[in-house]
Amino acid sequence: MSEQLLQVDDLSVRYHTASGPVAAVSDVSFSIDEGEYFGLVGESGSGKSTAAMAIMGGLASNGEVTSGSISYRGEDITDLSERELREKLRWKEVAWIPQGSMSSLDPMMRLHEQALGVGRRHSDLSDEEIGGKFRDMFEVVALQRERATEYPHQFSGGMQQRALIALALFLEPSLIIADEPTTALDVIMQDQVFKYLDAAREELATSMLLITHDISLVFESCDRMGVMHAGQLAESGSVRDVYDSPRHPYTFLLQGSFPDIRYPERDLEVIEGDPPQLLGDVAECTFADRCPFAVEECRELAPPLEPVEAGEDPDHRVACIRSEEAYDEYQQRRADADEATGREEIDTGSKEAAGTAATEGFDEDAPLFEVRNLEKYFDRNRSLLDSLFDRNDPVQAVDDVSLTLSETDARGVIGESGCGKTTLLKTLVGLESPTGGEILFKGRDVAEFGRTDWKRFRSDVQLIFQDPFNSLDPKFTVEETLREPLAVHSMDDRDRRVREACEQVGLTPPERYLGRLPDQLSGGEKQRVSIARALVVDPDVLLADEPVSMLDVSTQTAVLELLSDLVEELGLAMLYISHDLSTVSYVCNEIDVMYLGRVVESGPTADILADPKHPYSQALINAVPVPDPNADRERTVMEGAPREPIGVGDGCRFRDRCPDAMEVCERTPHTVPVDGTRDVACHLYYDHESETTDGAASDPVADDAGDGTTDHQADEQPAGGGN
Amino acid sequence: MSASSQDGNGSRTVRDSYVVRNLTSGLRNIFQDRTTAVYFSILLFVIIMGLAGPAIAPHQYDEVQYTDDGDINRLAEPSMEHPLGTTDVGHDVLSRILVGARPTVITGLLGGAMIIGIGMTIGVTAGYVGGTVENVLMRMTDLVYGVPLIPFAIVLVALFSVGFTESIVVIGLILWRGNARVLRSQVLQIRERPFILAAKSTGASTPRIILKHVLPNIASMAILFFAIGVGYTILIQAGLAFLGVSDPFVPSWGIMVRNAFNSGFMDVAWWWSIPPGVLISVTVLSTFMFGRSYETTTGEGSDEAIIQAG
Repeated sequence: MSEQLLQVDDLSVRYHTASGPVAAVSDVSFSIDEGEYFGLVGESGSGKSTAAMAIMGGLASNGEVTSGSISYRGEDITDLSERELREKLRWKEVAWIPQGSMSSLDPMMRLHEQALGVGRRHSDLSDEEIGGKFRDMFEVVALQRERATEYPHQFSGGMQQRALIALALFLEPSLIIADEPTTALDVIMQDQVFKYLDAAREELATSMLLITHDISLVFESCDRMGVMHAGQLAESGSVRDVYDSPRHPYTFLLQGSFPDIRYPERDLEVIEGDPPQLLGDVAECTFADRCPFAVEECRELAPPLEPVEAGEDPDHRVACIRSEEAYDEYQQRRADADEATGREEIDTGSKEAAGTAATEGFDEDAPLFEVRNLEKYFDRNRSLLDSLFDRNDPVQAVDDVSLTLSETDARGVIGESGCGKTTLLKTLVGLESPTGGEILFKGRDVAEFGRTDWKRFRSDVQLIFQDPFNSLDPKFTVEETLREPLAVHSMDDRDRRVREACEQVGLTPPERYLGRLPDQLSGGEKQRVSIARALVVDPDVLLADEPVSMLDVSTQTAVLELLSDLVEELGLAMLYISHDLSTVSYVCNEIDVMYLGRVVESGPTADILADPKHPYSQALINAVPVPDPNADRERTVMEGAPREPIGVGDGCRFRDRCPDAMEVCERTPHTVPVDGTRDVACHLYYDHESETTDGAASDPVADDAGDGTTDHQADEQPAGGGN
Repeated sequence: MSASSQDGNGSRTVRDSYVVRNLTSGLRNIFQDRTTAVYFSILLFVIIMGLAGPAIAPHQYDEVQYTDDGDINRLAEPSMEHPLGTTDVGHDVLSRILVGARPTVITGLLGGAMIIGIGMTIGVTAGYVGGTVENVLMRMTDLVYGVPLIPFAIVLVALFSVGFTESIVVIGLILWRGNARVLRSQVLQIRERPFILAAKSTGASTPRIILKHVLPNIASMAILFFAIGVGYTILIQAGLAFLGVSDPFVPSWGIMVRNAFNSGFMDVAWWWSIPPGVLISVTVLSTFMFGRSYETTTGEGSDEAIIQAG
């Protein structure tokens, strides 16, 4: 077995704040061996970053290590001075990969100059050697050697993060501390970054301390892990042990709360409440208040971290006094739940109760939304020169998108940031006016709406926003926020409606919440209020824009669970927009995959997840980390980042990143049905000969050509298309 | 707005409690912070002086005082009878101070109200509506920015006749410019926040959004600007009075300093010039500091905004 590199013993860190000392880390112990990846998982505020900061000696000025020790290669580094840390440890031995690459690279310096600065200070190498090593490392993370002389802004986000990895690694440190290295990135980029981190690890045999909130990343790429909750280490051990036999209630609830795209139907666990703010001494299990298995004793002392049980790997340790009872209870509960869902089927037909009075002109039987060839182009600020030469490349944010949302549909639109999904949503609700195509709401064209129609539309269609911290008026109490839409739409019976909405979103009893201001609510509660505000006017459609992306994992699950229940119970239709495939797959039964303003594939969730057809969907699904250390996922092979949708012209927009790109991709692909269940816009799936004879090339929507070509598709699917 | 009045009781009580809540929480904030409380009490004291001053003044402000010998009691040092002495024409200084508080308070309130009123209307409209409206309004603001205050005021006041109210109105008509700029930029930020989008998507009308969502969120800054406006107006009005561009028969503190200066006895009769001078300074200082700390206690302060406000 290899040598021990980092040893953290009973580390406690406090922050001195105006309201007293806050215990950020309490008695945390773990160790990292040479060449080992250690993952530290926890929600925000769990103390995981603080622990890492303490190791690097980078605590904020009000932070203090109150007890415990940190040793590196057997040497105590707890009390090293800033100078000693700099001379002995940083960069040379321990490198740091921070979260935001954009703010960690000096925008005014070329990358190799930044490397020179670091190298001169921390090594005895000559400038040439530093440059050489840095360029070598550039190659390891698959950037071109020559590009080392470029400025950070010349790289895309994912490439910047990789350049940062090169910068952290070129002095060949033994330990990398990576603090949420990919949280700001899209899934595909995240996957690439980890791919190259792995490559670097093979090259250098470094160890890594990976700090993240995403348990699936840890399961996938680490050897050992620790789970933190509110400053305490709940459980630690090898990822396999923790995955196969989690012993701490927080671990198995957290594990159960993660949506797994392999099982979109699975019920998710909800962890109640929020991590506590700990003032003063901690002499209790910090999870006790949220733990469904807690007993009195749990609140009386901080549980010690002890080996699970004799016979098993002594490295698997848990800090829970009831771990066995809790686990049994949990298994029992899950079994019961499985049985229950089997018996009681979804009760439809509750929609009649909500029955809306038909207004003139609205066809209640028509699909709620029917979007045909929708286009939204933005003019860029054109310079005088551009207008002289008649250069006009608008931003084609949404281009030729068609979709239908019927009653009780839950449709997800998924794509990387910048793919136009939010613009699509804004155009749908009329916050932006389309530049082409049409939107039919209940059979009527939105463009012809009059005042009263809009009013009606505004109460039937409700939005849920991404950012719960900003989407509530800070000066309004919950009650005022909920009354506001009722007042706008002159609805009666306000008290009852407000109460009902509160109960529907689980803010019970309503009296406890009605008088509160937004800053007296937690993130999850805010998002619930946001949803209640949408529900209070009894809408037909919910449009949700990344409603959970800014929430912590445990809260995220609760909100997802809620949305999914609402759609079922109230018979609402929902359009759910997100970049996160696993949450979409949990809530939606239909998915549209968007790339650079166009829908490339749409169909039932289960089908798309099981067998994506479009190369982009395949890449996207492959890139999602699977929360299972035993699963062997192939990493996506896809270079580059999406372009800007400016002057993209004809042709498939994915062609420059597509592993299956062909010559014919220079032409815009038509959307054709594939396998009967879904529509795909890709040249791989239709017969081009019949297309030319049909003369469909001039017709942007070739759905009509679909019938004739369906037969060919089965033979046409190349092996490369469905890895 | 018809929507809210239609549904009687429910929303009315909420509306009331909304205003009441904000007022009470504002007051609570004031008294939680000790320095704010001190400034607030000074202001309160000045306002009470303005209200009750003439009533409690021991003499008429223009009543000539005589000594026991029958001579006019000129330039008497402070004594039991005249706690702040007398002027060169034998007026009681204390009485003049007490009576002079009222025009000072009126100056401040009127000027401050004008400044914030015009500034907020223009700033909020420009910020929220945008487009051509914004362009026109902000170019107008830029134009006013180019006007040098004191010379312009002197010319205008001379043009409209030298009067007490006129001098205040002229100040108000110019000093709104800073408020308009800063409030516009505030509104620009608020306008982009999701809760405004949320209100829009529920179908709330523009006036409703401005009244219920935008204004409450710039309220604490507006209070700060009102306070600063009050301070500035008092100060500049005193300056104009000192220069003689105000009605000399309204016994404001500024006029007192002018009289003391013009009499030529300023260096001898310290009891005559110092009290009004100190009072002006303290009042202006307290308004400014009160607004400042009120704003920081309600938590939306920014130094840049204060620098721009002038």
